[in-house]
Amino acid sequence: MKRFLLFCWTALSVAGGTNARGQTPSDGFALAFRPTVGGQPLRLENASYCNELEQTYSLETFRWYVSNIRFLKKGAVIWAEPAGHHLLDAADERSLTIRLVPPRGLVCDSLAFDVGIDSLTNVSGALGGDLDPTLGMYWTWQSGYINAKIEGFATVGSSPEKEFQYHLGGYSWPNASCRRLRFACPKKSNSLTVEVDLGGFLGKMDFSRNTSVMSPGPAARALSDLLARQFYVR
Amino acid sequence: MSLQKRIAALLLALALFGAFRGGGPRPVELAVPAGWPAPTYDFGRNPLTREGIALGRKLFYDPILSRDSTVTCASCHLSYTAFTHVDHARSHGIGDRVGLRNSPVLANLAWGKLLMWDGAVNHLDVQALAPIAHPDEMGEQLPNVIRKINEQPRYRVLFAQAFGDSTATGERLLKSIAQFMLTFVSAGSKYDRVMRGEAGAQFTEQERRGLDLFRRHCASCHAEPLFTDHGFAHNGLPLDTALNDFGRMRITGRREDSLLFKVPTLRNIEFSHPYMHDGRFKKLSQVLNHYAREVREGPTLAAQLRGGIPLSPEDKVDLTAFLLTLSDRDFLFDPELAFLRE
Repeated sequence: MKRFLLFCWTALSVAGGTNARGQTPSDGFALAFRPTVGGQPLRLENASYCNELEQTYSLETFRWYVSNIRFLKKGAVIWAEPAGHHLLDAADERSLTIRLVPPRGLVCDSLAFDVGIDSLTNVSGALGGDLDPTLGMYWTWQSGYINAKIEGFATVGSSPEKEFQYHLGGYSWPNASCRRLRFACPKKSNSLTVEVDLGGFLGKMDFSRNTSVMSPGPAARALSDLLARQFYVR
Repeated sequence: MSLQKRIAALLLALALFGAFRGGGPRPVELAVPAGWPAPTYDFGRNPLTREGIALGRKLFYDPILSRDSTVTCASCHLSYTAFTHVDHARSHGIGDRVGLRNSPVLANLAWGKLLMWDGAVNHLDVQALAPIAHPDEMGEQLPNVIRKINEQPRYRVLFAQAFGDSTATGERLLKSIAQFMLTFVSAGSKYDRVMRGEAGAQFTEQERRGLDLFRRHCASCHAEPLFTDHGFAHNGLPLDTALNDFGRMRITGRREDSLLFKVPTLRNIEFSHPYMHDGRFKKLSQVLNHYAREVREGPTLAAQLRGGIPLSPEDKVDLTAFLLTLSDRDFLFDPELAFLRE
């Protein structure tokens, strides 16, 4: 019986395995994200923040997609990560660093990626890995990925639970909310750290009026623009 | 480990061994009926297999998808009634909660585009997410469904057979249900046999007159051979102010989509009553009376329906006779599509 079980274990391991063989975390290029509020690392527990309207809030969830990572030289793509869609979660430190394996000796002048999921992927049916709809980043009442999910509580919140929920998504015109960002490639380094300032995102948010955005539309579009402006490299 | 658990583990191991040794899932090709367009579904991303379809069938008829294990896909999509919820104007789910709309007929889905009465769903694969999560339907969360399924050894075997890996994931669950639904091909009605020129298949005079009327007045939206153009239209039904369902506009937010609903296929219409998105008509005669004299004018009304469709009482009888030729009993009573007794 042990032999049978060993066989099954091996078979399952092969079937469900990844193709990451031969690749070590120190190889390639590391694209890291660092969620912050006011320059300090974001804390999802035991921390309350105050925005420019002097409204106090705490954050519970910050999850977002980073996809279509590519290196460019003079505006032309010289390497793109194949089939790369990454779900990042502020509550899971390991998810915040994306290991890339571009060809050795690649010289780029900029690095670009999408915050969110592009429209083609959104109409491609059921997908797996970080795109599996069990991960809470896919709407059920209508098709489409949630590009970014920001949730928490505000003392002036208008709902009985005082919660706020911003689920930013939408893939078709005019409500597409996936945003493309581009940064200069680091010189003499094989890593880039991008900060994401939620303090900036929520700085002017009036929690007494604007507590939830959970469908594609002008509000999600505007908040997606606002979120995209919070990604920066020091 | 108790003896029972050891035996269960051994059985699972043997079944998995068999699944892997068998050379993997066996491909199935969807037969495209003669004269039909090519399917719109991308089978390259989800190739049909016997094992994938069998898993999807098992899931389609399993109440494990619902929060309290009382509702299956078939509760609202019964094979014998054209995969719709007969006799209920608006379909009901767990705890007898009544939804907003009449459950649509499921047939020829490989040729479809947007799904749901308002086009909310863009791909057959992700269709099942909506009823699983809707509080008036199955009221369950997909991660819970996956957890429950992974706890059942028999499903581990079925997933291994279908996907070469015994673990259920959201992607695999949805793709297998889609595979089963893709086999819902209705192309065996009298209409089809006549169109294919099969020996002995012939319309009666009355049915022939009905077909002529149909082509003149109905086919611009209910286009042959699928009997839908897969589009959306406002067919002149007045808004039910108790429901305030504005259809397609709920999804697009555009005023020009107000009161537009998906054009349904008319195949098996004899069995799919009640009719319209909210099931307001119990009988086919009421549907024809609506188009003949009750079409409500409005800014988004389909241009073809302005002033209604001129139909005499005789025309209605002829048209009904033709619509009944769209019944496909081979499809409705296909044992491959029905609940599988174990």
